[in-house]
Amino acid sequence: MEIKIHGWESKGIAGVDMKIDLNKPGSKTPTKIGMIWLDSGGGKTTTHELIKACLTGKTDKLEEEYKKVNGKPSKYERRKDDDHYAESADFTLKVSFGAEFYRFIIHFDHKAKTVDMDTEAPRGYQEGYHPPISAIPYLHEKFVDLFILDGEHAKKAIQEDSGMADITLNTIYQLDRFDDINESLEIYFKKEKEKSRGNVSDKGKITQIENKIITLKARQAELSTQLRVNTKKKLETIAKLKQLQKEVGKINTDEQAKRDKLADKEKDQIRLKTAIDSVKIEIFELLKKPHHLSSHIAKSFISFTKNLRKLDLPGDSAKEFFQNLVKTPKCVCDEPMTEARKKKILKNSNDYIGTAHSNFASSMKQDVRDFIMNEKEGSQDKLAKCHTDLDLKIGELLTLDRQIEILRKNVKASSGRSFDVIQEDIDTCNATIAVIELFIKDYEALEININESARPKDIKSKNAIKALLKLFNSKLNLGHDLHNKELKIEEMKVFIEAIKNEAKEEYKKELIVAMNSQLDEIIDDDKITITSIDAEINFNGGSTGQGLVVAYVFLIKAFEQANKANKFPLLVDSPAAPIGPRYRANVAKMISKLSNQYICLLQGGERAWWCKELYNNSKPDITALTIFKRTKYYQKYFNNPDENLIEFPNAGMVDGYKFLALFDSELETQDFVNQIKNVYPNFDEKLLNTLLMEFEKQRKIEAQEVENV
Amino acid sequence: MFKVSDEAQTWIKSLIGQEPFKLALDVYYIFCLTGLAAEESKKIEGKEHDLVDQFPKPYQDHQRLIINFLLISEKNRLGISDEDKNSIKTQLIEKYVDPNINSLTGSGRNSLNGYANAGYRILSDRMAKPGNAASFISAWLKEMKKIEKK
Repeated sequence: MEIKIHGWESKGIAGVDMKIDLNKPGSKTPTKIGMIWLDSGGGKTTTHELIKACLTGKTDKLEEEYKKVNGKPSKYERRKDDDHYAESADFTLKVSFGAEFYRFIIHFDHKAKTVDMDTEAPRGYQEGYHPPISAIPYLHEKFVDLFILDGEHAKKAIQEDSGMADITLNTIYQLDRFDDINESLEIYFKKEKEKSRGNVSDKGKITQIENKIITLKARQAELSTQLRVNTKKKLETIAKLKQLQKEVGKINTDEQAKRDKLADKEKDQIRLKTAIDSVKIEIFELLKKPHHLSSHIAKSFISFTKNLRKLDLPGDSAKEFFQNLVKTPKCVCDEPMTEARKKKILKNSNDYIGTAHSNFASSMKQDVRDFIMNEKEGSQDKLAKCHTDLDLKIGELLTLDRQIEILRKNVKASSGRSFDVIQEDIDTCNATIAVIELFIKDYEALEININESARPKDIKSKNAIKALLKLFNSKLNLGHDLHNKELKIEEMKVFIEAIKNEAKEEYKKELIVAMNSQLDEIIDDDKITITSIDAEINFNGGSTGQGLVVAYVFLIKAFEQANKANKFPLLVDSPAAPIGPRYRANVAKMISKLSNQYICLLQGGERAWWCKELYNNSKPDITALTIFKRTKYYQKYFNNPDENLIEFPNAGMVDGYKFLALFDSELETQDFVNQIKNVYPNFDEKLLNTLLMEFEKQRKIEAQEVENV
Repeated sequence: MFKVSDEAQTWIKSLIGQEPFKLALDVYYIFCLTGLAAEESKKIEGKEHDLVDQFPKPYQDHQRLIINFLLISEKNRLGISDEDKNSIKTQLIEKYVDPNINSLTGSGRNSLNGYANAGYRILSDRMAKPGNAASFISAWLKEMKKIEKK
């Protein structure tokens, strides 16, 4: 795609009104070179800025100008005492993107202090900035700065530590797209990390989880071994128990009577234990009514209830009754509800309790009546009876236990061992089985609430371990995934950075060769050699005034090299002034050889050595325009107008190189002197005089040449 | 929340599960009765053991009597006179009774916890660590008679 500037129109903006048409006569194609001379104060810099704003769509900076000036005219607004002051102004840029023609229009409303933009595209007129999508990558500010060129920007490319050469290369070769890729990777990882919040990605935490899994697996193995051991032990104990029960069953006839007696006693023991449980339950049920404990407590209940009644708690009315009463116009006594009455009623209402508390207190009093006052049998006696019964039964059980113990000692099995010894063994076996069964019960238990922080040695359930292992493994997998992604992304970033640097180095090598070859053609007296391009362009040789030549060559060659498929117009504000007179001609020659469109905005002092070379080497593919203000000095051009003169309210414009070469600029010499001072900061009068003489001589030669033609 | 000290919970550990102490609140209730009868209250010091939020179902038929007992003991402990209607209303009934749930307010539960803790202190001073529930109940009833006589 090739971007070309076809012209622009400025109306009502600070400086002069102008309508620039760069197209060849009768054609829709602009000339390759555009050479526009604009008188000092004509709005050269403003035009340059507005062209840039049209291409980038950045009008916010233009609007900010209104705020900066605090009520005074902004830099884009004419003074109010100007004969041509206008409350609104427009700037229109005509551009083509390949075969498509666009017009970007900036509207200034100086009264409302607003700046708007419209776009006229092949598909129609639209409000706002709407460039073709394919051109957007080349229309961001950083890139446009490189082809709608500002002298300052070019200078920075050769300034030490400015970093501008590196930035320029990244932009022109679009190497900064690699940075965009890296940035996108970082954004992607950040999102992934947020998605799996709660999981882990850093190595330390992963190790922690891995250790937990190892410990849990060890505990799982330990429990599994214990289960095997315990199952075996249980079977052995059951077998032993059977043996012992058999042993108990095998008794001599003499022992049978003792054995029967023991069995009876054991049955009594069970009955007695059950009876004791019943008494305990009965006692506890009685205790749920606390007055059963003692007559003293029962009396305190009755006394408290009676006291509540005495105090009228709860009363016949609840607090709410009085709170509602004060809202009525009249009191219950039919007297008016005065403020004083209201206050007194509300104060007295505090003696009453609310409805809900009142209901509770009433129920409480009713309970005392029902459970305590109306109870027929002495309730405390009931508890005392139960207590006595319990004590008796406990005594009986003790006696029975002792009897059973003696009988067990006396009853002997066929084996010769007494029943109590065998029973001891049976009890041990039962205890062992109970412990094993408890272990198995815990081992098989379903763990619903899994505690992540539980110590593995405290976990008894295989299901809990399984669940925790599943949880930690899933965390670990996610953690590993994320960690692996992070590592991969880091590797990719390093790789992308390496590609970027390698590509840049290759481009630099080619660029240095191309630049040195071009510089050989331009500079013949004081040879310049580019040695390297780092943050800035490094070169050997050269003198003051040649630096900017290097910068131009750098930009032009970089564009040529990088954008073979894409071409951009190079528009430069005051291109010749900073170069210095000696190299102007050669730079102009170089520019005329460019395949890109080139437009320069010239000022006084820049025509010598520059315009002639540009014209002679480019004609007829060149447009040369001279724009001058409608002032007393230039009135002669309006009085005896050139046949090509186009008049604007505050300016005149003539198309043609001859007019430009012969044009009598009011401040030509003064402008040249100023430029020399900028190029040679340590200039002396001798040098200045020499250069001025050369300048005047050159101006005359060029004028004579044009006259002769 | 009804609470006992961790120490008290350890003291009664062997009783839990035996008849009639099947619920978490059962032995707590014995402590309450002891403290209320003795009209002694002591704030739990050290670690607390949470039991339940409200009276469980087996207590609900009689919970108003238990609350009544709390009000009586608190009135006596604080020395509120029988004639002081305002204090009985505000410092006892309105403070401790939540009529909407027919139970105790948070202050009421805290107050009952104080009596239960005092009850535990009294019993652990006078009795050996319990093992058998029947012997414990019998011994406790005897102790209650002594407390009553005081």
